[in-house]
Amino acid sequence: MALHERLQDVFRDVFNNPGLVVDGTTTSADIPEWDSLQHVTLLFRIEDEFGVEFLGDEAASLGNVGELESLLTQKGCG
Amino acid sequence: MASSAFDDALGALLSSGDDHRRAGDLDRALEAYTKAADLTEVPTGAVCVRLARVSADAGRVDEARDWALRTVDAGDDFASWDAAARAFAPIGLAAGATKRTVRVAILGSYTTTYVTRLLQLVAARRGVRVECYESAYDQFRQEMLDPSSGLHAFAPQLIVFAVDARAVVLPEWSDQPEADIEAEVAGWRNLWARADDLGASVIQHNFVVAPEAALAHLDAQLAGSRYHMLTQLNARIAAELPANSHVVDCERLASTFGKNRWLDPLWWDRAKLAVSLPATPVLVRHTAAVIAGQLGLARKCLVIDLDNTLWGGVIGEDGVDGLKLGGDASGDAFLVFQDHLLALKRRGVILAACSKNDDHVAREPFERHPEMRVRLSDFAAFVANWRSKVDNIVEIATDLSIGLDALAYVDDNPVERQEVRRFLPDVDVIPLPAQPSSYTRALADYAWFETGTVTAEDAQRTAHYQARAEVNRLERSAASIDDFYRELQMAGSLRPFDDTDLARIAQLVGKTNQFNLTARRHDLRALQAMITDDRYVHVSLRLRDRYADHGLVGVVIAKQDGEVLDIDTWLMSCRVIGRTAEQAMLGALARAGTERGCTTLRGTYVPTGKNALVKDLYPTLGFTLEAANDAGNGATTTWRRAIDDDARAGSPYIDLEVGAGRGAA
Repeated sequence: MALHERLQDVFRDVFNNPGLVVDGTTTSADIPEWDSLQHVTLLFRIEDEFGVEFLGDEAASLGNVGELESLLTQKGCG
Repeated sequence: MASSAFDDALGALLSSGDDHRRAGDLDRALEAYTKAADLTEVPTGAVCVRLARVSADAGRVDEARDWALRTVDAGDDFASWDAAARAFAPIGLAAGATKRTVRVAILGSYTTTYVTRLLQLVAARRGVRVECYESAYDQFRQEMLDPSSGLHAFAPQLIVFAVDARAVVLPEWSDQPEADIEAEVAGWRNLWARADDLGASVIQHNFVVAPEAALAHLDAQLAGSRYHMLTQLNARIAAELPANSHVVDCERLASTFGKNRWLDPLWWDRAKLAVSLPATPVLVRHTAAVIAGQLGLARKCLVIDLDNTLWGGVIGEDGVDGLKLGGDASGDAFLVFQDHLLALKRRGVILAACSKNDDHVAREPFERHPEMRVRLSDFAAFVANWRSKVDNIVEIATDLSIGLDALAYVDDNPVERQEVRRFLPDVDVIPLPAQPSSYTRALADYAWFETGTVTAEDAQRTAHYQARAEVNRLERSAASIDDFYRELQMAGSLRPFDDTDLARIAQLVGKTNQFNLTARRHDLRALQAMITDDRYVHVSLRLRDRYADHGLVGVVIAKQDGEVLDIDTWLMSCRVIGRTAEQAMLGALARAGTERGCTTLRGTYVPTGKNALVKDLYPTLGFTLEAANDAGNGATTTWRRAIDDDARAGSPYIDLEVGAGRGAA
């Protein structure tokens, strides 16, 4: 499965929204349930799914899904 | 099925279900997920969560709740628990399934949001509704000490100190370790005293000692090292915690789990999580087990299969000499398992045997095998026959007069386990791994035997339950009910309350649910007032039989209203229900009434949802209906009966000494 689909599946599962569609511009403002706690859950699930660990400032500076995808690509995922 | 083929099958069903759910075809999603659930003995967490979610989508609230709670049984997977807790939160526990409601304050030195949310889920799985209050981040000391804090307004019954070693003031190195430890202990004692002021018991998480030490080995010997001091502090906390408060031994949990994974500095830096997310279900499960123990909801009895569980091999085929039991690698594991069972028994867990065998064959190893550690006398009940395990487990519960929800069941056979899970969902089924060497650890990981205290009485509990089982067997074998009552050789006393009995009476008034006509929960102070008030008749019943002395088991309180004696409270312990003791108590009331010049007894039945057992007590005892008043929970009914010879006669089967005194006659 392509990186984007895998990532989208994580979002769908975390937010319990099977029809959720995310793209490069999606931010926490677009998903009402994406609060600071769900951000922690999301981070945990993404690292678990892709077997990576974000460095301290990487996790903090993620602005949108596009940045997340390019970071995962940099780390050799997908 | 090979593991990869199995993973493929499971994955295919889950994605097919996901696709159907996305397309809005909930029935087919449900169907695919249900098939996935049937692939494994216990459905995986991921499957349970999906079933909970799609059931919620379909408006099937009961199924959604059930699947969310079953997620807990699937193992300690954080992602599943977190998702299940979110699915469960808006639904909550069904009123009928709620055994207790308890107000719990979680006072943390770290981000406790996950702990709180998961605790509500896993407690609900045990029938406990937890109403939670969370202190602001690392504000637990301030909130304890400030009477205007939200904590004080919440009025908790339980306070969980969810703290980590960062909350401990001990320095990295001390030149006066004893004084420093003393100061730290004093700080905690002070917090426990404030908890007591609030009327709350304490659940204290002890401190996980971080693996990072300057000198990993010498630090264990240096009294001034923080490592050494924290270890001492944990011991002091365990020793000095006040009565009715309990430690959750996080240090041991973390060691077992792996401290490097329990303490993950990355997640502390990111979100001030002192316990890693993968470790949180373990912490929460054990915290809930300690809470359940404190509430008296621990499992009381372990039902044990025999063949290939208590010993290696099948006694009916291998014979006593062919069993694997001690002596070599394949037999030693069963001895270790037996020793663990005896350790549980020593702490008050009742053991019962349940085997598909001829009875005399199943007893042979106990009588003849020299290595057996567990003896026949260690079992409160021993059932071996060819009926189903389900029938036999129900019989064991009946014989011991305990609910199915007080039982846990351990068996090596997955088919038997499945049958029990399906037909007796209230029984906890403890699965054993294929490897007997791992049996003991699997049983030790089961947390729900945890109890509040271990007393001398606990070690003797088996004898008490053996007596109960004898009585129930006698009932089945007696030629008639009259014979049964006579053969019990019951004797007892009916006496007015006195000061020495009052604590026990208050305990019964506070907790008796089934045989309790009005469930009015008078406290000790109110009962004391009744003793000195001439208008009240108060009688306690003590009962013994040929098997056991049951002690004080019945309480009745009535108030004189002119010529009417009005029964305010009437209850009996479930141990002695169905033995004509109620007639004996009616007799005491009627005689006391006559002495006071009363002509009529009046009784009230207030339905509580738990006392249906005594719904028809008054008509059975010759009362006639006076009025019914439905206040929502079913009709509260009042009843009248003339005081006559028949009422005064009491029970012909109980040999009574009747105490003198103002209350009873």
